[in-house]
Amino acid sequence: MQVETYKEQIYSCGRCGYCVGGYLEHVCPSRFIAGFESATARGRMLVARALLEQKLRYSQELASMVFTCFLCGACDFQCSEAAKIKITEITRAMRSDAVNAGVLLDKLIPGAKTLSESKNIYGEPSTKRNALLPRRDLKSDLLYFPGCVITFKYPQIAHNTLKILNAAEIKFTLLGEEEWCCGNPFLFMGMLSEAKKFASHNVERIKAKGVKTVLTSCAGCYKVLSQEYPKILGELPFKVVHITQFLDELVDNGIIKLKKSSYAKVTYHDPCEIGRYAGIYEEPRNVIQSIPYLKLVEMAKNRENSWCCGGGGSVNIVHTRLALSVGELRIRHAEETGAKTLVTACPSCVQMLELASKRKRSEIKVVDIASLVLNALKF
Amino acid sequence: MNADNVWKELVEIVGESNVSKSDFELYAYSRDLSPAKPRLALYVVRPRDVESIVELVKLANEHKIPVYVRGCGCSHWAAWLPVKGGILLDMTSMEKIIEIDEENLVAVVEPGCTWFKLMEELRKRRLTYLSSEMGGPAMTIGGSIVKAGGGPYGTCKFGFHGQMDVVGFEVVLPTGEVVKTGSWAIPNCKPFRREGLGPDLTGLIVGSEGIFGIVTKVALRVRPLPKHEEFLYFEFKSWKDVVKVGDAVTRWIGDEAAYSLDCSEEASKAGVIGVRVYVFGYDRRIVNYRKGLITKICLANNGKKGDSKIAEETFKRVVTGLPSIFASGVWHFAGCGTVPINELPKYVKIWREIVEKHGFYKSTFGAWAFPRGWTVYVHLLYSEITEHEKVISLSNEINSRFLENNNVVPYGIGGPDGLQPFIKDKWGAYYDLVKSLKQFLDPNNILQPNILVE
Repeated sequence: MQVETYKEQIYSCGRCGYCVGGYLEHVCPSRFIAGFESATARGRMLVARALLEQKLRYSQELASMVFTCFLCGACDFQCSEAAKIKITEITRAMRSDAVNAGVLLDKLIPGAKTLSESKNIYGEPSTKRNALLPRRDLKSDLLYFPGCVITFKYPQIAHNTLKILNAAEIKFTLLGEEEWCCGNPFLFMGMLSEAKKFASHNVERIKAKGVKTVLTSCAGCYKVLSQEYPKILGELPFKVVHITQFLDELVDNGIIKLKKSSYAKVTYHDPCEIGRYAGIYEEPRNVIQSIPYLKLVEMAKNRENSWCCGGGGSVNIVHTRLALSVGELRIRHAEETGAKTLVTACPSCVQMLELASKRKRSEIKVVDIASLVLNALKF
Repeated sequence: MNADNVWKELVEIVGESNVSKSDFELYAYSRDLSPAKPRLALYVVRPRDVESIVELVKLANEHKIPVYVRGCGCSHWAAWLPVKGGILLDMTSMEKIIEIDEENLVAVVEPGCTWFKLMEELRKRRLTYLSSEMGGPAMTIGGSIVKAGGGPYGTCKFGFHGQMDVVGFEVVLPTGEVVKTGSWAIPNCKPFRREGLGPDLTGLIVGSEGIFGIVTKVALRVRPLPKHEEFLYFEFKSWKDVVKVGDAVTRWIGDEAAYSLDCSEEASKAGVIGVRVYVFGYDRRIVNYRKGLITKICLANNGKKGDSKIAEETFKRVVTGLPSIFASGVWHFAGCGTVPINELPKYVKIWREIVEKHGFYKSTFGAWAFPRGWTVYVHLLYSEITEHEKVISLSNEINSRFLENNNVVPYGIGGPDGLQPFIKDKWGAYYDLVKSLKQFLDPNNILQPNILVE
């Protein structure tokens, strides 16, 4: 069992409840949707302990509970003030153990099959990825890795990003149809061998391009490429940069100059996978604040205390309606700022928050950071 | 008991999404913060309103099923663990702040509301509460009050919960009737005064550990947020000197110089006693006077002034969660109780003897002041993998030695895994009275059986 690796940590939970927070919608979106103690990090540690002691066995119901966790890392942050338990890692280990015990949730099976076969989560032909390729392949040290959600659902984010690169006269290359899903959904599902296969494929193709930097607009891809691939495959011969970091550098070095945009007031949502997992908090804010006449207003829950969009951890596949309620709460947070525009830096957050805004009949419009920058860019 | 019928009725009362009998769920609810072994309920129920609780209590009486009531599970002495199985009520869904009466300075909350949540809301109105425990953000108001908890936040001035802050309760009795206490008991009367018609039945619930009824609303006294505050930190070598400080600071009953006075000594740093003081006031001159007075008292009793930030960090994060307290993992409080103001050193001596005897130095002795007394505790850090049995044995020894003294009141009693075994033979006629009251109010003994009284 993978959780065995974390035995000491699991037993070091003192059940202080920092991870539980002060009210249902305070810290943990899993507690918010499920309510019961097993949905909290503290409760999950007791469940993990009972599994280790063989008092419990994996079942569809237990696995379904483990999939109420958005892997957003809010509990990890709270626990960093307490027993410093790597709760999300333990939750991932539980998911993997469930798979190894032959328990894969029925709702995940079609998605896993699609991903294995078509190398993307939508079952689209890989050749569609070629649509983003420039007319001729440019030799470059920089590779843009758009990921599945951008390529197949939000290609505009990629187009906008590439326009910014062109405006900055930065050459780039892409993998096109050779790009596979980064493997994040497999990691969420606990299917580690599949994830490793995808990681190996992507790394080999990137290596073949001989690039020094991989740029991505997706927080999930960023986290997987920069943090998970090295764990799976060892040190990588390239560095991984998120678009927010890249844009911040472009602005900071005066390579692009931003002018008044059509937006007056915006708020910013921190995607968990670049926020709590990677500490990228200031870069997107620097970029937004460098746009003249644009006011950035913070939601009460921001940076380390940010609230998940509801799209993390594959919860939206297993508990769709409940996951949306997490997104709807985030939209309410945005509404409370008085801004009408919610900027974020992850296509999955865009997707989830757009849906939540629509369901909530909110006036909040969700905008990706590249679109905002393009809007403010003087060519 | 027909389990299928019970399940169906529970679902009917609270809805399927608010009840569980899944094995993993029962494990998730099987522990509090103490080293007590896991106790499994048969069902976990999350009621959302008083009507559901009335129905649940009726069902429990009909089927003779025990009902245990849990706030956020942060008890340190098995105060709610379902020792006889049955239904475990998780009260955290009842977390609403129902009203904040700024004129009468009363907040009405549901029992699952946390001190953290109430504080956030009160601060928006420039208000705060009188006192609270130091248990982090998850601590519920209902849980704190039914055990008459408290400290160190505000305890030096306002004492324990129930002493000055509880104005009234709404309670579901073990037989299903709903009653209110204090002025609230009078039809259409606001909860503005704790004493109502006849005896103080609010006091019957405070410290009852939930055996006389299920609290469904609490009316709490609140106060304006102080405009001025000061923090002080001193180090002492002798607890006798610390006692003199506590004596002087709490002697002027009603005008205690400090809001909080919290002291501790780590076994690994013997002879270094840290004393953290929090002073508040509505007038700068008064705060300065109190600060000067406490400084004078501490210096006159061999205290050495230290970095006030140590005290500020403690008290400002008392409800949001202290960063260091859980850093080394699992911990346990033993020997918790209140003692008269001058008897503190007796307990330090016992603690030191036990620490030395067992060579167990991952321990801290602490005390915080309340008007004319101290709450004492021993904090034990341990590994649940290698030291679980050892810490239980140490804890039993500490509890036994502390409680064999006459002038000590246990902080909480709980069930057989708590302090109950250490005190059950010492109560005499008072214990019999509590038992009689319990039998009268709860003829089927469905509510918190084997908690507080055996």
